[in-house]
This record gives sequence, C-alpha cells and structure tokens, in this order.
Amino acid sequence: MNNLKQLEEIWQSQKAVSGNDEQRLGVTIELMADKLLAFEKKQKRITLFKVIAISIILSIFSWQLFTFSDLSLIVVVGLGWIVFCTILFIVLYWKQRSQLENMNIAASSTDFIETALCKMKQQIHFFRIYFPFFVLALVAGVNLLYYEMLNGQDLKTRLIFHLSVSITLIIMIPIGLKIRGYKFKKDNQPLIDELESIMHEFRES
Amino acid sequence: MNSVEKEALFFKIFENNKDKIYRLCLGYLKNANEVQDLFQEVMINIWKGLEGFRVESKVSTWVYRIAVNTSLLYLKKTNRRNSMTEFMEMEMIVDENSADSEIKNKADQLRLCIASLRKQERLIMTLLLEGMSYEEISEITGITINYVGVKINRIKKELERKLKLAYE
Repeated sequence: MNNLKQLEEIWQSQKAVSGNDEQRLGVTIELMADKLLAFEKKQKRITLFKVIAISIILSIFSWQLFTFSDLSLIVVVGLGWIVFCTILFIVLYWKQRSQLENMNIAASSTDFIETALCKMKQQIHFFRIYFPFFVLALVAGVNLLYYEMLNGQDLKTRLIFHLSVSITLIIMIPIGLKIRGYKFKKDNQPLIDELESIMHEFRES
Repeated sequence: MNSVEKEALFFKIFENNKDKIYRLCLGYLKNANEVQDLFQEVMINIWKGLEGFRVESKVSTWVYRIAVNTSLLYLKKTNRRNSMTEFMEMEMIVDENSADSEIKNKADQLRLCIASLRKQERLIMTLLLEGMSYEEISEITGITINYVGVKINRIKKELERKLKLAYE
C-alpha cells in the first residue's frame, strides 16, 4: 500500500471536536473535568455507603444481643455466627470484584487480556467454592437457633424442623449456583469469548 | 503527585491526545453514541491511572495502552454488538479546515473499511494510521515486532482490497 501517508492524512483529519459540536460530543476539558469529579465523588459515596451499612448492621446486632438479656448463649452464638459468615462472604465477594476493577489497565494488551480473563474466570470459581461453604455455615447457625427455640418439644417435632430448614437451605446451593452461573454467562461470556478470540490471534505470533 | 499536579498533567494529556484517542474509538466502534461513551471511559481510566504513571514512560504509549485496553473491555459494559447499519448512520466529524467533500467521503470509506476488519486488526490499523512505528505498536499490544510487521502487511492487503471495492 503505497498511499499509506495519504490514508494517514485522511484518517487524522477526523477530530474529536468540531466547532459547535463541542458541547454535544461531551469532550471539552470542562465537561471532562466535571465528569471526573462526579466519578470520584460517586466512588467515594459507594465506599462510604458500604462502610456505613456494615457498621449499622453490626451496631444494631450487637446492641440487640447485649440488650435482650433473656437470649441464651446458644442463640447469641448462632446469630453471631450467621452475621459473621454473611459479612465475611460479602466482604470476600467485594474484594473479588474490586480485583477486576483495579487491574493494571496500562499494561500491554496481551498481558491485560490474560489478566482480565483470569480474573473474570476467578469470579465464577469464587462463587462455586465459597457459596456452598457459606450456605453450610448458615445451616449450622440456623440449627443452633432451632435447637434452642425448640427446647421442650418432642424429638419428632424437633427432627422435622431441623431437617426441613437444613434441606431447604441445602437445596439453595445448586439453585444459587445455577442462577449465578446463568447470570455470569449472560453478562461475561460474550466478552470472554471475544477476549479469547483476540488472544488467540495475538498468540499466532 | 498532589491533586493540582494530577489535574494539570491530566489536562495536558487530554489536550495533546484527545483527537488520537477519539479516532481510536472511532476505528474500534461503529456507533456514534458509543464512541462518546468509550472516549469518556478512556479518559476516566487515564485519570485513575495517573497516580501510577511513571515519568520515564512515553506518554503516548501509556495513553494508547489504556485506550486500547479500555476498548477491549468495552463490550463488558455495553454487552451488545453493533451492526453495520448503525455505522452507516454515524455522523461524520471532520476538521472544518479540511472538511471538503472528497476528504469527508474518503474518511467515511476508510472508517467503514476499518470497521469491517477484526477487532485486533482494527486497533493495529488505527495505531498505524496515527503514524506509530512497529516498535510502538508492539509495545502497546504486547506482540513481537516481527509479528506486528506480518500482521500489518496482511491488514494492509485486506484494507487495500476493501478500499478498492469501496471506491469503485
């Protein structure tokens, strides 16, 4: 192609802004500055909201536990366990998600794609590994509560309650995994396929 | 880097690179509204990445890496694919000084042809048309210089064929 220089000129004649279109295109420095400030504020608000939400939940829970003196040790342990496992699961999930958002975007494309693919696949692996443990931890906590609540009932009634709540929660494992897997596939599979195809082209070298 | 220095550096990068980044987005996507979204996302990523920017790095390479990688991940947010029809409807934005109908028409055809290439090829061609050397393209994409050369020869032939058809 001898006319590469010509093509360069044609290509470079296209500009980001053009006269009155400036504002409409949203690429003026003032508009960008506004957007960036809004973006930073939004990020700070989201983090603040998460910290406040967890703090409120923990405060209310602690207050209730220590205020209601008629709660037995088993109930306190059961509730504490459920809340602890839930918060731990949520924090680990956030951490997992933030790893994808905080990738080194200034890396070379091949490195970037490899990392992105790895992190995206880790997201679904994380759920597959931790979600069953989380549900089983809930089963243990709820059974502790039931043990205390059903104190005085006959063995048959107690067994029925314990089994029904345990089975219901355990059934949630495959259902939860299926829903999460479907959502992951819907949201991420097109991008994973695309990145894998681009990576395949890169690897031809 | 304090916030004033960060802002000043960002504004400098913005002014010096906005047209290049915009054209990269144009070459990668087909829909005008999405080009604007992608452009702004690249700028946000540049802003976020400024803290980790090393002065010894070449600014244009650093900026292009961010622009290329943001483009590669862009599908995650939009989660949809564009059609050629959308591209055809896209409004042309050409510098007023050089906006004669012939150049406008040629730029239209060129964009149409680039948009019909594979994604990786679109990015490489866009970088080449910005006047980048094979070495710089290799640094941005992470593929070897030799393979950049092979790839570019292939893309040039393909583009030439498409342009011939378009101009006929």
